[in-house]
Amino acid sequence: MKKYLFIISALYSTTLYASDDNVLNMLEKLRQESELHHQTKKEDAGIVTLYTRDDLVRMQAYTLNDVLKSIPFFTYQEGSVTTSSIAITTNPVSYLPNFRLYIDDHEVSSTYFGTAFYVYGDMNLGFVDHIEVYQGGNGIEFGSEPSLSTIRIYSKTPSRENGSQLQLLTDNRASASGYLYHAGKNEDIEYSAYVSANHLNRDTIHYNNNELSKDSDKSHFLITLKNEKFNLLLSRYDSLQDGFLGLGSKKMPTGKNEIDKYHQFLNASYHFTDSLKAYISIDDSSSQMDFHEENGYNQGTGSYFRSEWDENIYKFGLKGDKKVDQHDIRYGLEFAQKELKPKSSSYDNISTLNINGPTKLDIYSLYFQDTYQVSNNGSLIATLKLDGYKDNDDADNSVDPIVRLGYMHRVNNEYKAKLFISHTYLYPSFYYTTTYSGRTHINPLLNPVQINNFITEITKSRKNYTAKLAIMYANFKDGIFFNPASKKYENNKDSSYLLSTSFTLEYKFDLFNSFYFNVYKSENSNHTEYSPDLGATLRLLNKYDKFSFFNEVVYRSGYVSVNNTRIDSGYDYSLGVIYEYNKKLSFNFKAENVLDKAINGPTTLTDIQSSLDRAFMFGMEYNF
Amino acid sequence: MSTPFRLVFFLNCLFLITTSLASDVVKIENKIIMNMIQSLTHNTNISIYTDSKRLQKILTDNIVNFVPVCSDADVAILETKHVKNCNKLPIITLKYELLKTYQNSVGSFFWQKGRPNIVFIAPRLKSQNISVGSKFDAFVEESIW
Repeated sequence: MKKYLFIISALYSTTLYASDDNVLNMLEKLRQESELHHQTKKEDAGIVTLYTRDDLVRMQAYTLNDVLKSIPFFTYQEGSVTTSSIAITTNPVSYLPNFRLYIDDHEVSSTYFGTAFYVYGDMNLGFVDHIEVYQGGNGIEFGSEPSLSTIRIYSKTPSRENGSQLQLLTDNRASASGYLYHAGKNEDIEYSAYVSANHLNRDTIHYNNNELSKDSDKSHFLITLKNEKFNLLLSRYDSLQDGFLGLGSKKMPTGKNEIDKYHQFLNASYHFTDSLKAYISIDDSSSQMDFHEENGYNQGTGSYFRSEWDENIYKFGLKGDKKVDQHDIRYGLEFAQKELKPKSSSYDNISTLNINGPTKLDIYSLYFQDTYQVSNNGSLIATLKLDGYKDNDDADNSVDPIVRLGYMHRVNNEYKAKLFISHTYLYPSFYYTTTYSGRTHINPLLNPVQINNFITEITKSRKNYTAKLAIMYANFKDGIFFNPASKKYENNKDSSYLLSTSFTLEYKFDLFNSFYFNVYKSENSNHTEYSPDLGATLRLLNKYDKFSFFNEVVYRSGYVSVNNTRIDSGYDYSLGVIYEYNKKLSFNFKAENVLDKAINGPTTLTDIQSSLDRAFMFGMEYNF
Repeated sequence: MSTPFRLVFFLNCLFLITTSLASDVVKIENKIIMNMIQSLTHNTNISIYTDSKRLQKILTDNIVNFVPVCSDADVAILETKHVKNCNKLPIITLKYELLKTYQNSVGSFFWQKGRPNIVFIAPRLKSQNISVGSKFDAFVEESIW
């Protein structure tokens, strides 16, 4: 009995008097325990990788790409027109929309490409509190269309900011970027306003007597307003991006080559009660591509290609939750309409505008989830979602279900485990089903990719460390691939699988010093490696007096790309120092890809296409 | 060990595990504010006036006694403007800018840039003959920003 009395007294003493009398330590502990992710993180939504506010600040994560490059199971890449993307490990299905991206409760996406990174890859993170990455889930928890993985970006809470921040940044190529953020609370209304502008100079590549540029100009404007009942998010993002390799067959763009695009949205929600809310959102985006290439294009004749299109997304829905005895029930319904509006397509100013395939898609969704507390330590999760699709081409009028069963169990104070089995699908974006510019690859009759998914994760936590072992298995049917014989995108009737294992260790030396380590290994049934099968990340965060240090190595293994090019393995070593001059002013230095060994992108000119430049950045942040 | 004792042991563990995470924030906030209060007064029973309902839930210590009128208090902890009869006692503000509103405020516990902060203003402490002790040395500043 003495043993048990000792355990109880020890538990009480460590719980009640965990923090010592050092005021600085108390403040730091309060900051860590109060972090917003404690309220937002959903353990039952899959395998979670978390970038806390503190992580983002000390990593000097200025843009979303700084986070994308270290996400387990994925490899950060730049495409031939330098849009960001992340490729799933070993890439078992050639064309797979990997991620959905949210800013607070709003999904940002390109209707045409089906990915948000087309616009938001290098978005400045000045307004961001923390980022949650969910893998192996299906996005139901967030009331969205399904996805294998979800990135949730949460904006800062105005009542905890109470003031203004100005950040200015430059680098060894004379890039210039900065943001101004202001937030506060007035009576019952919390508000924030954020504006950022970035002029980014990248390495200029000299190829066949041509200069290939990746330079870009971006700006972002975002406002949040909220009180007890009402929530408003308003955003506009503009991007003007040099075309780099262009779209021509010889990859030698000449003259003006650029992509000019914007995305703006409004998201408003009203809370009838604490457990029931209605929301409405409007997305509006526009893109314009101009490419000059003397050697002509694959798709059309001429040396000047121009394309212009708009996209709209409208959504409204209801979300609720209810606790009944041991049941925690979540439910919701949503209507979404996605529209692609081609405006022009021409070669040498001769119009080639000719629409083939659907341009409007209505989606009706209904979902229900019950988390049943079967014991003090275990809960069962059952989810059902039905999505009805109707397009304006009569190519598809279907109902696609998502079904998921899960179990989460806390074995004791140290060990916990979770396990999920689900059936889900991924719907092809307009890029694969619709053309207006003479692209012949499209196929309006493509079916959604069908996925059966199994994930499990075992976690061991002690005071100073957390260790996680995760296994993900996904079986794909009707994967989308480009068939060279028919020269069209088609569904692959053969099924394929992806098996990935990952180990993560997070160790805290004390409140201010920690390291993070992750390693993953994957294989697929095709025995192909269209992206790295092995990856690892080691990150050290340290603090000494007024200095904060950051060291990170991200490794990705070599592979053979879809176009049969060998991509060598690479590692990106980055480091950073923050000097806190006083409470208001700090100075930052960051060196990215210091050894210039980061893995290259998978384009046809892979030897000149590094996704990450070697960069040395200097900056300051002023709080007032 | 008897079955009832096992049950008590199990329930104790369960209670501690389930409540510790949720209440850690409140406990630490309580500890920080109590340290600040006790640095301003050495009274064994402390009368406090506050306009913060949240604070009344956080400060549950036996030595704390909430009073309805500011003039009856040893210390005031304020989060809004226009509180009256508070000009003869030390004030801790819960917003930094209120240091400018209340001339007899001596310190602030506030959130800025996503983190909690403490500050004491040296000339105001001196004018009220208060020494906050070495524990808060690093948080004493000469002037308001």
